[in-house]
Amino acid sequence: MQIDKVTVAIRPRDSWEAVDLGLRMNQHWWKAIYAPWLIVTLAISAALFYLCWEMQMLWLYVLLFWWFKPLYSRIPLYVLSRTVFGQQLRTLDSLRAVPSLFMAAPLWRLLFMRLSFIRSFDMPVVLLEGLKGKERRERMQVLHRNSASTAAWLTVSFFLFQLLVYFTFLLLIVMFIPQDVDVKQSQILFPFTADVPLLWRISGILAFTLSIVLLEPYYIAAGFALYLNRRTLLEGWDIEIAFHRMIDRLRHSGSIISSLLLPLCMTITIGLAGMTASPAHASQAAPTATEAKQTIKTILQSAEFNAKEKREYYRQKNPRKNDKTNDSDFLRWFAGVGQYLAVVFKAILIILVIMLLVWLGINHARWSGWLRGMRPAPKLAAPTKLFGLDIRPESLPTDIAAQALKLWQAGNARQALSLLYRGALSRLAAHEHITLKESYTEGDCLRVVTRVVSQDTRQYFTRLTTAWQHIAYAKRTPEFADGEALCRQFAAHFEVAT
Amino acid sequence: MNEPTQPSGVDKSSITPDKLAQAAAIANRMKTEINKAFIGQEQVVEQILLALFAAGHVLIEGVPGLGKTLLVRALAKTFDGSFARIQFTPDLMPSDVTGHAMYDLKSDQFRIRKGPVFTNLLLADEINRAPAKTQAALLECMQEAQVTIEGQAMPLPPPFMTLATQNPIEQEGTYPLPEAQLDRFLLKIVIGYPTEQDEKTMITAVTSGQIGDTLNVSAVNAIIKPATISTVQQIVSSLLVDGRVSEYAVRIARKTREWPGIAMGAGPRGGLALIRAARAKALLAGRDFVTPDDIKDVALPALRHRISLAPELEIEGHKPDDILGSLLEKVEAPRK
Repeated sequence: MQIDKVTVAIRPRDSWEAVDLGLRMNQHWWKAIYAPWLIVTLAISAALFYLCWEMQMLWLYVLLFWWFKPLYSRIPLYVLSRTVFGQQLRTLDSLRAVPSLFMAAPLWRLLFMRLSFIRSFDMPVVLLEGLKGKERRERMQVLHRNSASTAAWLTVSFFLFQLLVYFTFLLLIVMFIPQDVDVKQSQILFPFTADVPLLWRISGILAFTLSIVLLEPYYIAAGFALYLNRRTLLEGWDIEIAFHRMIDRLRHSGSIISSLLLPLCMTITIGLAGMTASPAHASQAAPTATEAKQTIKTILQSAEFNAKEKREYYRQKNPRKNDKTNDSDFLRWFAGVGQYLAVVFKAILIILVIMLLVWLGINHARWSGWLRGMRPAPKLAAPTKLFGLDIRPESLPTDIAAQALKLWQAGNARQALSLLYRGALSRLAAHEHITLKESYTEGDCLRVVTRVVSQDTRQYFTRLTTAWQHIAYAKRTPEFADGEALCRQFAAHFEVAT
Repeated sequence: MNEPTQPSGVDKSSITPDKLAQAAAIANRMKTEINKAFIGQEQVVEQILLALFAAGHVLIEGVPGLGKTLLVRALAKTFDGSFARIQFTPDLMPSDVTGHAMYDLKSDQFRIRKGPVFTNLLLADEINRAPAKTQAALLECMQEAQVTIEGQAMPLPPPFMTLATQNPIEQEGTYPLPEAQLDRFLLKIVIGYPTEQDEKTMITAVTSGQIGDTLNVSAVNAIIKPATISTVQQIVSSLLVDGRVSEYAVRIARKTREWPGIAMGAGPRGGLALIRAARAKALLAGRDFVTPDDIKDVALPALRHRISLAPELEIEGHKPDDILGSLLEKVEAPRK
């Protein structure tokens, strides 16, 4: 790396300014970057597509192409790292470097790096500095200190931007689909599942690939610029470059002595700075606490620590006073209304809180039950009326069967069957917790009941329903024996043992 | 009010349990026979028979290729009746349906040439493709059961039933039936696609030994004569309807007029259709009286073409069946 040959303006920059520089770098050297990048990624993309097509798993393509992005992202990084320092790369040179780039870091690192939020910033450290193990960890810690958050936000921004570009491509394709072709929303969002028409799936894959191919070099360049900026700050590249320029200038002005002296001065200056900063080392004797304090005091009083700088900025004079004089009547009135409203809302809030507390107090039993989780599920409210028949348990006699039989024998067939039918429904609603709606006809009730009762009861209830329908809608009384049997068998099916 | 009602002029004693059982058996045998050819659409077959026994006409809605013609042919064959099919087109004239008078040079007289409407079962295919004039001519025949040509009224041979079809898609270039005319159909039947198993069975049954596109109704046996249908219709019309059951039908019809989401509800003809179809339903069940269940069962086909949904519900893709379903959930079943 020859700093003096760097082709971008090196100076300490704000992190986002550095990102901006990266984007400009990608635009400037787009030919050198995109040519090898496109050749490699499109070849990989085609291979992956063929593989997934053969496996009938096109969704896998999306996963793999996304997952291996750090692998082929090394190409733009390689090109940038050479071009920034003045090296002219031909496409062929870049392509020749691809195998070594792919082998540069172990593949398993991809798995971790893929999920990293600061991938574009870390990649130069891993690839270009070639550090390993503890050294790399320490180095990364130093580098991350000032730039990691920007790098993370950069990743988030690019992710969102990539989504935007992806959906833009997709919607462009959607615009060409005839209106009568039904495309579901879910299919537009993620067109890679098997239930999506093939052509649409391929369109989705195309849009996905294009969005990555187009944007990834920008992302890498932005991360690389951020890395360069961090090193500039840490290592004073800008100062070094300034010295190099001075050397060049003096060399060209013809003064051999000065051109020889300057590097010497540089060395001495840096050397002396090191010596003056640690006089204790020079005397090789440990200073006492008082001496050390004195030394510190002296150093703090030196010119380096007392540089004064004059900066000018505008500030409002007497802001409080001005506020008062400028307040219009309306503003004062408005502030008054605001205060009034605040009091009203506060009062409402207090009332609501009191009401809530009262409610909680009244329903203490219920919520304490909920809290303990011991409370049984509230029973479904059984209907009290059905077809205008009162089916509340208390509206019915205790011994329904006996009462019905008495009515039947007395010749009140309709009343007897009505009582039996009511009784049966009442019992079922109370004990089986079946929901019977007002709109249910006899047929509906039968369907609901047959789902919950035993075979015998089902048969009995069917017979009872038929008898009831005959007497209710055809005024036709069943045979005496049949009616009697219905009364006598009722208890066996619906009476509860008490 | 709560006394059972019967149509005037029908003697209740004339419906003996034997006759009823016989009529029910005929109806159920016809159902079985038609199901031999028209596989996997039991409900559709039942609704067609309900309309036939209630002496009504049906509007069938379904995409092409679901076997509507096959159904009508099979039905005609079960009672040995005649069958005609008219494909409605924009240039179809009323006289193409009803017939016309033509001058006979030999006899030097006008001769009446009867149209395809003179049949027992008339399949009016894609009725909404013909202009209102032609539709009106057919609907006139349906209502009056007679045709007037050159001032001469000619009754149609009983039983006469029209089965008009509509395609739910392809509305371009059609003349949708006005509400007043839709009202004349007793039932609107929706034919959906059969299940996979039914479709397999149907393909095997219909194509075996068949040449070309002709429909195979050889499996269907003729079991009665057309006159028997008229007798069954008479039996159906005299089945008992309790006052509370009629009230229930009226309640449903009236509810459609005030139900939110329905722009226009069913008219009194809706209630009539419910009772007529429910009577036929009772016959199929072998009963001589109608229960609220019969009314509820026929409510969808009898009312779905008599209501118009509010535009916002239509835009949201709701179907009349959904709305009627929720309406039926709210209408109280008959009281004691």
